[in-house]
Amino acid sequence: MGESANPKNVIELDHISKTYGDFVAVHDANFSIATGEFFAMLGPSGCGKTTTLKMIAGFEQPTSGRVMLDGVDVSSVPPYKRNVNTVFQQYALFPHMTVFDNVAFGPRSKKIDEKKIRTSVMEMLEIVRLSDFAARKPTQLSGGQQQRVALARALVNYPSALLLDEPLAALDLKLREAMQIELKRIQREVGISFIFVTHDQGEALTMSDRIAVMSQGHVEQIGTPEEIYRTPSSLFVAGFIGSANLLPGTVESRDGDYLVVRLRVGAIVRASATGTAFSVGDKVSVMLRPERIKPAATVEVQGRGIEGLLTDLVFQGATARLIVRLDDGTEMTCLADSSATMPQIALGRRIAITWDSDCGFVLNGWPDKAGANTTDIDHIESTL
Amino acid sequence: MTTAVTASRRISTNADRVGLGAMLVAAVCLIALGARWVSGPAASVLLLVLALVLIGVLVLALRGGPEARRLLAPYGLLKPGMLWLALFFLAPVWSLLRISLSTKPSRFSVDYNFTWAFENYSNAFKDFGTQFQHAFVYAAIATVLTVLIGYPLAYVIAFRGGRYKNILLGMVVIPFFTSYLIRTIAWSTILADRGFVVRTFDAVGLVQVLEWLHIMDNGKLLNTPAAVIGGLTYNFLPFMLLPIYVSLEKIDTNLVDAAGDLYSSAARAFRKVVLPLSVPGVFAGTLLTFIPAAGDFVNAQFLGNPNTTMIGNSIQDQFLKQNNYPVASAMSAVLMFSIASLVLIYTKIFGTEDLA
Repeated sequence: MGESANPKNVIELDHISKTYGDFVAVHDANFSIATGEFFAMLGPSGCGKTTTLKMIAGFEQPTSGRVMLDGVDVSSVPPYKRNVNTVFQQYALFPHMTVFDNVAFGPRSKKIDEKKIRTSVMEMLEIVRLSDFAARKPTQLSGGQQQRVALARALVNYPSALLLDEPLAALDLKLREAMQIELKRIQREVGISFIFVTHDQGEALTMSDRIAVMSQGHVEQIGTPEEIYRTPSSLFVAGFIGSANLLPGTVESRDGDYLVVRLRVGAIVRASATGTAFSVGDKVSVMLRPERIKPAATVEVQGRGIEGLLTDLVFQGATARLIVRLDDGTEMTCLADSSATMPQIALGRRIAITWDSDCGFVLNGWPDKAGANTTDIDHIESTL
Repeated sequence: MTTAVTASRRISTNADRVGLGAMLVAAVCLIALGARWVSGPAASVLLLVLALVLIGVLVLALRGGPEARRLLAPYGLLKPGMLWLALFFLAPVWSLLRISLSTKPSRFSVDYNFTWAFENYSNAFKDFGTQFQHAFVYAAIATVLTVLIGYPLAYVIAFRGGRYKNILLGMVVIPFFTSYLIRTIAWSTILADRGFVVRTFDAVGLVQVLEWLHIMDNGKLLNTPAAVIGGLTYNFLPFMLLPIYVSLEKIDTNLVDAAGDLYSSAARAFRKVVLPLSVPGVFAGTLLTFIPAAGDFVNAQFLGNPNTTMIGNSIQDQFLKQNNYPVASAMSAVLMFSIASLVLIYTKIFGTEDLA
């Protein structure tokens, strides 16, 4: 990493790779994490995100490359000498100790004065709102409370960075949503960098300042949630983050910042593209987010719509989900404002799906399966 | 008619009390029969009562309806074990205690009369104090040795065994498929005076060192206290190893990682996390080792000498060779109660109720 002396970066991964025999768990991860940043490593299971986290924590050594912590190479430093702390997936609280003793474990290892430990532990329990539970054993706490004990136990050491391995995976949906906000609050309060690993894109989008999307050991894209959502770098990222309609086609011509793409289904559409340079004839896909396309009676502006058969209409409260089958059988999903229903839109009718000028986004290559990725159960399961 | 119906309904709704009562009556009958409180015609009556009580409960279970069966079920399940213990444990213990307070009319008599002969107990202590001492000291040393050998072994198998775990455990356990006696006699061959081990020690000049450590005596390895303790240690090792292994195996390795993450060295992680969590295994292992080792007579017989006799040997000798049942019973009772009180004290001190 060129800017390796940047004092604002807590952690710098300098071209690290990890292989187990022939299996490449992480390939050439090269990024840095700034002080106070909430950073997510997102990807399906087996993508290398947890291995990367373990290399930062010190439980695994990189096969090649360097891990820099506060500007110092710690690649071969054991975990107990690294100033980072981990919140384990199943919390790994010590079952034979009280909440207080669990939280005091780190400071006691460092042989800090017991009086100081008392105040800092109680202070941290205050931050995670568990002051009244100091004398309890972990088994006497609920999942969410155990999670907060694990947080307090790590944060009481004021590490340079806090590593969280699927921190919310063991909680149920309601609690998970509440804990997302709670985690964010605690992170702001202590001002420590949080690096967390998750396979839940919603979680990553909600909490992170930046996200690294990983797949099969490779870092596919790093950016803010908005960047990753609006301008994914690959078909994988587009399909993994949120839901997307991916329509395969070929580049017909260039029109300023836009590309004109002839879709395989027949229609010709205009879509924006960034990054990769495309030339005429390239196999590409046009990504359309379901919430950014609208149903209409007909395509009014050439290049900003496509026609198909409305096969399903599901009322979801604020929105309605429309499934439209294009002429070649490709299914598209459209999330429409449920209050703006139109009489001509009815099941079995031929309707149009339209969009604004900068909604379509061109990606390199053709998807395994054209159309909406969220209607395919196998696809969803394969990304979890 | 109606009174009969209400009576039978009352029995059904109180079937749990009926079950408990029947179990207690049956147990008392069995103890009385087993300990020979009664004899002759009275015994036949008692047998009849026992049969009637059991048949009565059976009838109630079959005819009393589902509610009665539900209430009877726990006692039905308890009964085989309870009655077995009544006949084969409580009755013999009663007999043992009774005999321990009896005297023989003459030295060569095989009979004995109950005379509240408490002197049997004082004689047991007076004449066999050394053997009691041997039993507890040898068993205690052997228990400590099994912990020292078994713990590291269990640790390695549990945490480093990987896919060889079961093979390694098998290697520990399989020798114990051979008879206890055979294994102990095999050790007497291994440690024999002109055996391979002694000759090797002699050749490399270890004998002097081992004699200084009181492990060898007069150039001999067999028939020494060390051999007896060694035999006990060997024979009871699996009873220490397996409970420790089970408690170590249950420990989530993430806890060790977490301790490391919280700035603990491997040694501190072991001391603060692994060791406390494996205490229940060590506790169970010590009980399983110490209790039978203290009463053991096989190791002292085959690996010891007349000066290493343990209380088990003396009890066996008094029972089977001297035919002195009263003193032998008194010794058994003392052994039983002293082990029981040691275990109680040990449990009070190291009791591990709040460690699941």
